[in-house]
Amino acid sequence: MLDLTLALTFILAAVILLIGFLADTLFRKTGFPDVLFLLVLGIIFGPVLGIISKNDLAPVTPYLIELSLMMILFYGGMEMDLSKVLRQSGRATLLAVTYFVFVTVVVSSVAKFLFNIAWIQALMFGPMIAGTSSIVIIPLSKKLKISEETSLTLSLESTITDSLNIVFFFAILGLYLSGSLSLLSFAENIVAQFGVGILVGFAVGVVWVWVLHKIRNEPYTYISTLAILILTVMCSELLGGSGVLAALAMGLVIGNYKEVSSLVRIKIASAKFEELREILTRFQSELAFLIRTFFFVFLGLIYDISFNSVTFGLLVGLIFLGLNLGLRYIAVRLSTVRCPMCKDTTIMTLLCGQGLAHATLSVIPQQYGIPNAQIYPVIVVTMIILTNAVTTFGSFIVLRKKKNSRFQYTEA
Amino acid sequence: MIAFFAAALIIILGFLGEEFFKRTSIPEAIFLLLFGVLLGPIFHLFAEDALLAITPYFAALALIIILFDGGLNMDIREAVKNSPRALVLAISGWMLNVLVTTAFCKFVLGWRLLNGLLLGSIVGGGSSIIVIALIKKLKATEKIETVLSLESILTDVLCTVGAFTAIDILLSGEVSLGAALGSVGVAFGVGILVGLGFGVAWLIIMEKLKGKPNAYMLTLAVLFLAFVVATNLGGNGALSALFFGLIIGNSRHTAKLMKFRTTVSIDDNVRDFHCQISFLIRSFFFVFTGLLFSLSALASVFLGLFLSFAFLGIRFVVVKMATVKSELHEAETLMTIMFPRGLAAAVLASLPLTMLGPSYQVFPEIAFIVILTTIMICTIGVAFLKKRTSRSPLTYT
Repeated sequence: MLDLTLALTFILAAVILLIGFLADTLFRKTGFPDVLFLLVLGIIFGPVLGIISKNDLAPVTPYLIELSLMMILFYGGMEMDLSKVLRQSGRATLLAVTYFVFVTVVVSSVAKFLFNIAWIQALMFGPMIAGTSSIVIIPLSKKLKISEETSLTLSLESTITDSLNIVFFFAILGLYLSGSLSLLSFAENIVAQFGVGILVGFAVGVVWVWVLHKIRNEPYTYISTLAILILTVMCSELLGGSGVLAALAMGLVIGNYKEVSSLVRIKIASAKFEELREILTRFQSELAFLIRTFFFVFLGLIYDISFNSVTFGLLVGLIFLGLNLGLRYIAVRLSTVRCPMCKDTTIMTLLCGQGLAHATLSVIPQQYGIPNAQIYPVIVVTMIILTNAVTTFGSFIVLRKKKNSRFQYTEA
Repeated sequence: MIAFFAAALIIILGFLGEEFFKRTSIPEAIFLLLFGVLLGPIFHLFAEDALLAITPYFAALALIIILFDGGLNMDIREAVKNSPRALVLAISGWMLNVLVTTAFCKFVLGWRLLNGLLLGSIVGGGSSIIVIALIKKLKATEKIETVLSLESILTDVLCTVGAFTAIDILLSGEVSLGAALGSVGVAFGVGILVGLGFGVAWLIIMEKLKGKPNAYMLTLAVLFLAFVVATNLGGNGALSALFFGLIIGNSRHTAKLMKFRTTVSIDDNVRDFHCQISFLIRSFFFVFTGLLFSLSALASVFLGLFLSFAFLGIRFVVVKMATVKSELHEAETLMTIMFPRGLAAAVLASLPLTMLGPSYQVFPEIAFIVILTTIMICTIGVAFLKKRTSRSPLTYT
């Protein structure tokens, strides 16, 4: 007979994976966000049934956060085609940056006066509330028969904001932890962290591309890549740089190996390396599924379901959602001026679903003992639920209206 | 962050160890184990309490993943054909080990008979995880691989049932041989049946899910459920994981036998990803075993060393007997050295301390010396054999 706790752990892991898989399948078929199922599952296992308590999870929380951040950024980097981002999709970059800046400025100001907290704490709301999630947006934009340009712009925007949110959040956190509020030290801090992070990530990325090319026929390339990723993040942090940016830079180098190898003049057999890159991406998506599934359940587990907390989350969430949608509409209008995409502003505005990056950032302040940190996850979880609901129902409404025009919902 | 750093180092060490093995024939297990000793008992980088708390979870996870891996790569026809020989090898070897340990403890050390019996039950059998992990590297014939894998799993069961029976007797003072034999029967029967049942059901479901992403994670979820169901019904979880893997890995034979159609064999994506996860767990497993190493009395070292070499001698005799008039005869050296003890022995050795009292402090220490020595003998033997194989490739494919 297996020890009861041990048996329960394995059963819970199996149930979470099974429901994660079913929810993911449902999302791919209908567009109904799997995030909601996973959050609810966590709430049932945690606050409702009390099978798992918050305290049980405390020792694993920092590891889950760190792993989740590394995965999002590394995967984001690997999937990001730099030449496309820089040349073809200037509008996606414009949309990502303007939406991010608008939301950060407005939401932080509102949070400052609403909760009477320090500016720097209010500023942390920006990266947690701004931007869209690539996991939600990319599959959905492919399913909706919108123009290729719109679909690409939305996908790129979500990939950019995933990284932008995390990098910017850590810059603010660094500033908070340093205790200095001068703009000069903020700029210095960002430049130093970004510089070292990018440099370390780029250097290790280049060396690792070369090594990977040499060992491409070995069986354990994926796991070794993960080990190198962890060491890169740690090395960057030890040198005073940003670990998350190093992960992003390393992912970017591997994802854009063709451009990078010609830049640093190393010979890479493209066809063979492409095969390896595809394998890495496939394995990465399995691991990303695992981390994402457990993270959302985890977020549900630590969610406070008391009446006051839920009401507070809902009220603030609705205010922030209103602001978000309004600001997103403006950002979409600005970035689609004089281009065919301007016809798609409604659907582009409504596809605003948030996800893993936002969720991960919301639990970090508690790890650093920041005052009033418990309000971040309450509001962010509500925002994730609301933005995903808007994304789902919004696209259904648009689809129904344009049933016979070019918007059609198709099976992937 | 130290845990992440250690994790990255373990993976790199495992990866480099694989390369080192290819060049020198020395398995990386020994380096990983020593790395664990370095991190744990020498530099104290990990708190002992935290390690002990996660040991049952990690041991179960390693057991599930590595035995599933063993089943996945095992030919079902070979498994059926060779199970009687494996059974003979397992039972005779384990019983002789227990007898010698008991006799030594009783007559030389003056222990109580039951305490000797308990120690013998704990360290009397090889570790399935280590045997399966090592035998894979050797590229031995299918027959040798199957016999050794099955034997090591059977001794896992015997060790567990034997140790718990001895503890029960020590606690209650009642001797019930019938109950012990019944437990062994239930452990085998239920473990196999649950593994087979889950495997066949999962094959049928997989046919419907074909082409869906994240198939590996889902297979893992079903594997966990099979393990828990088998163990909670009184069966052996390791056997259920092995048979689950056996069915999935031999999907065509299974479908033919059970008369249903299947077009899925476990696809390359799932197999490749499992290969990465299995490598990860294996590497961590060896380090983890080293982390738990502890020593306070020199007498434990001598007893552990004596037992390890006694087990080697017994195994030599048992293997000779079990391979008489068989093609396995040519591989008897390899079969002899495949007797390493592992985490299962470590976990079982910690039970008397918690269940019977502080006088059993010496058990984990003896067990660790036996684990370390048997793994060392095994790895040195593997290196020696691998070199000899390159001169006469008779025994290996």
